[in-house]
Amino acid sequence: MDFSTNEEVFLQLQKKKAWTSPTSLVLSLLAHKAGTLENIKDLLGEQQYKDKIQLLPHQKKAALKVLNEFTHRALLADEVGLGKTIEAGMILKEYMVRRLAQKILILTPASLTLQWQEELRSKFGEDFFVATKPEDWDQHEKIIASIDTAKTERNSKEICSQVWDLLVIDEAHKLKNKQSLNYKFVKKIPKQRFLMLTATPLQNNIFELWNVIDLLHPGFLGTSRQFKEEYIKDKLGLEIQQGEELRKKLGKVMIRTLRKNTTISFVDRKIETVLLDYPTEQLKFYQDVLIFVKKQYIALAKEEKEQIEKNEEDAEEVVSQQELRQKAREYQSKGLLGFRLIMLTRQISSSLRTGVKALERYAQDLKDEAQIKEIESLIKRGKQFTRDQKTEMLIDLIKKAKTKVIVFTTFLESQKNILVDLAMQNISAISFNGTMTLEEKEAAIKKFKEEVQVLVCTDSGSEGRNLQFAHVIVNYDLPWNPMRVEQRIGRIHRIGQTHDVRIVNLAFNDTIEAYILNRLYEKIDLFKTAIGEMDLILSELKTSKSFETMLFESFVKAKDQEDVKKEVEVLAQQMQEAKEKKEQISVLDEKVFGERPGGDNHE
Amino acid sequence: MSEILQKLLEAFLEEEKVFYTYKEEIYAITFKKPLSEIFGEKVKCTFKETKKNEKVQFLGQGSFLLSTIISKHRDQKLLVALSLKPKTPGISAVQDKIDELQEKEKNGHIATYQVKEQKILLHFAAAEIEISAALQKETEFMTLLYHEDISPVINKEELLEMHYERLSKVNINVKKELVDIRQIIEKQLTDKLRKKEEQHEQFIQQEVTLKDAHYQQLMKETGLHIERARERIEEKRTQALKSRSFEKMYSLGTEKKKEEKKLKEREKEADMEKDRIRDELLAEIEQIKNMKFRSYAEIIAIGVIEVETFTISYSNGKNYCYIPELHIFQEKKK
Repeated sequence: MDFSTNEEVFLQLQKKKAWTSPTSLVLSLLAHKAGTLENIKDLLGEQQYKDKIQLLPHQKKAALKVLNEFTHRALLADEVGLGKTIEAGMILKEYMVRRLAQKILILTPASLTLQWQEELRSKFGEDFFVATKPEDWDQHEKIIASIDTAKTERNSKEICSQVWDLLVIDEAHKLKNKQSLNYKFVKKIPKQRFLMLTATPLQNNIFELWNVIDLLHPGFLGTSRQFKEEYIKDKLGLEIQQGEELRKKLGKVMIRTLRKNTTISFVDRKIETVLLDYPTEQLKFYQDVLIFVKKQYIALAKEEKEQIEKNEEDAEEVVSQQELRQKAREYQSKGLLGFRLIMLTRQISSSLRTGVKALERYAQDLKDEAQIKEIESLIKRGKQFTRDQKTEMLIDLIKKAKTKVIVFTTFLESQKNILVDLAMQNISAISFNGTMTLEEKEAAIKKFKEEVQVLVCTDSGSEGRNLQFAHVIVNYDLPWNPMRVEQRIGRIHRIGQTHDVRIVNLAFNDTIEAYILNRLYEKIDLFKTAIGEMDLILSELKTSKSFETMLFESFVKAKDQEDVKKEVEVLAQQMQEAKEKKEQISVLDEKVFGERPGGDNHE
Repeated sequence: MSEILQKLLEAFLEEEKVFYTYKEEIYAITFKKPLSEIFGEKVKCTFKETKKNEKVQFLGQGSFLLSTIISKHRDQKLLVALSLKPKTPGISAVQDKIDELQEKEKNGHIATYQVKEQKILLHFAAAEIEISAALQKETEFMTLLYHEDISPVINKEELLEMHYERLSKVNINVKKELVDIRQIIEKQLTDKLRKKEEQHEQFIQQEVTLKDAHYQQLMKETGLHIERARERIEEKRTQALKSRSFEKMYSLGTEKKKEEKKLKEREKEADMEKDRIRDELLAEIEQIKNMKFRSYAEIIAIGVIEVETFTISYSNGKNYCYIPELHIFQEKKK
């Protein structure tokens, strides 16, 4: 037994005659007693987060089950929208409170690192560091990292040289392939406790499930041959045998709660799309701006192609570091210009006023005289339009709604304009965006909850916020990424919402937004898609490009309006197929899991 | 649980001389600076979950108010020299004890007795014990009272209820106390630690066995297709020997050679696969064995507590030591 006798401390106390007072002794005894009381039925950390999270019975049960019954390895596989991250946070917090884990590593897809960081900070009061460099892994105790960053040679070496008290892997279904680098990397990370999270433990066949479980707990389901012989009927891995036994076994390492097995009632979504008509002059202006954007993009693409060819010719030449840096800067600025063109297109679609401001900013970087002349003429025309029918419609909607309304826009400029217009109509409104500090955000939400009728919100400001005390959303402009749409709706259509949710989309006829709304989002029933499912559908799309880029490229490639419609149709078709694939997976899932392993059995 | 937390809160408020009222299970506390800067000026709280609302905070394990108190007082090291103020006269409790004992002589007659009342200094210590095993880490708090006349007394709950007074003059040999305390704690925990360590080892063994069996099976499976390839070669050889035409024999021979070439490649692959499996197994086992069993004790308080004791000496030679306030009753060490 190791001892810390604190001899020096006691000798010092004696020297100073610092004898304890009677109450100090009692206080100390009680404090130690209280601090070391551990009832396994209670989550000791719960007090620290219960006011920030609406805990659901299945989440608490899952956390306690993992802590008490599972042997240091668990797969949290609740259906989407049931709060797996919260469950993981509860388990993680408990391990920390009980001092079972100090060194913690969370690996997620790159797009989720900041979301995890924010959730753990805001909901569980835990500050995690997002690591990217080799020196980070040793310097910090609580780390979040993108799995792709972590697996690079220089990082993985550092990660694998230390033992982690707890390793958490989000989106574990991405590790379904045993031969992948990610799988091999996770396998070799030294870990004491291991949590994996996925909403889709099955995506194509049952072998994938074996792969994931074998990574979590090697040997738990036997070798793949034994697993096949015991539990799989067909070669494709789509039919199981001894289902009951398999479920029982899975229940020892896996929690899978399905929506239908919880007592949570999800309210309906009511979707309204209001398509307005631009006055002729405004429509012409809008179309001319798009033509300008197209021309810019085509010129940029041509320049880029020429540059690549030139670089290939120069490839044999020895270039200095300085030249390399210069080239990198050029590439970066080109990429940014392309991005700015996408943004410009989206800004003009949001509102003409916002578009004109964006044109002004874009003009500052132009060098070509002809282009400058063209853009200046556009700006001059755009400034004539003072009337904004979208805002007029918005005001009308708000007045009729007579309840709290959240107005979403992607752009700060649009947000500013909306706020001014609402103020002029004596409608109480407050702003909420990503430039605000945490305290300002908290104050704004409080004010919206208690006093004002309208919250005018940007996407970046609203992430992770629970606003279910409101139930009306107006999309002043439309995100080009379906995930963003879902995130917006997710602010109010979530566990705890008691009213049906009303979603109003505002757009102008014959604009890109109108095509997206009519052809794309309606085709895949985006606005009715259950919480969390869009992520699964998008993950089925095999593309390295972002959805926004895919849409923008469809638009620039198109020769005319009809062509734009066709391009959007192709995208819609891809998404439709992805959705169907997702539905097939649900059938397989039902076959394998039936009753949930590790979950409740009440209906 | 909440009883201890409640006592803790009240002790804290008294120690800090904070004004509070307690009505219908709700505490209304008025903090002054500097505590008001930490907790706010007016705090309403309760230990009853049913009483909590927007204005009344619930006090449970982990709540900010309690966590702050706990961490502050858990960090302190205490040198104790206190005297226990008896709540009731001890002699009547002694009489009850004597009636209950009914000590007899060897011949069956009631033994006579003498009672000696005296104040003694009990050695006192408190320690936090942490036991880390594969699946859990336990932290427990231990108090210890010992004296040359009696066997050590562990975790006397009564210590939390007592009223103490300061002792004016005390001399403590810190070094010796610490040596004694260490020995007593080790002796007291021997059985528990052995049991925990056995459980830990058993778990590690189970895990290692499972992994070992799994990887052995993987090894076996890796060799299976080689076995099959060998069988196919043997089959071709037999067929070739039995073939009726030279052509057939020649073609079977060629097939056999192809199979032999394939076999060599497969053997190479299998060797590599076996190396990989072996490395994985070793890594897995190392990970399991990294889960070390560890026990650790930190002494957080030492000193003496003066108590009123009664020594009951019987005519049959037995001597008892009785400390009514702490409900300690033991046969005196010889």
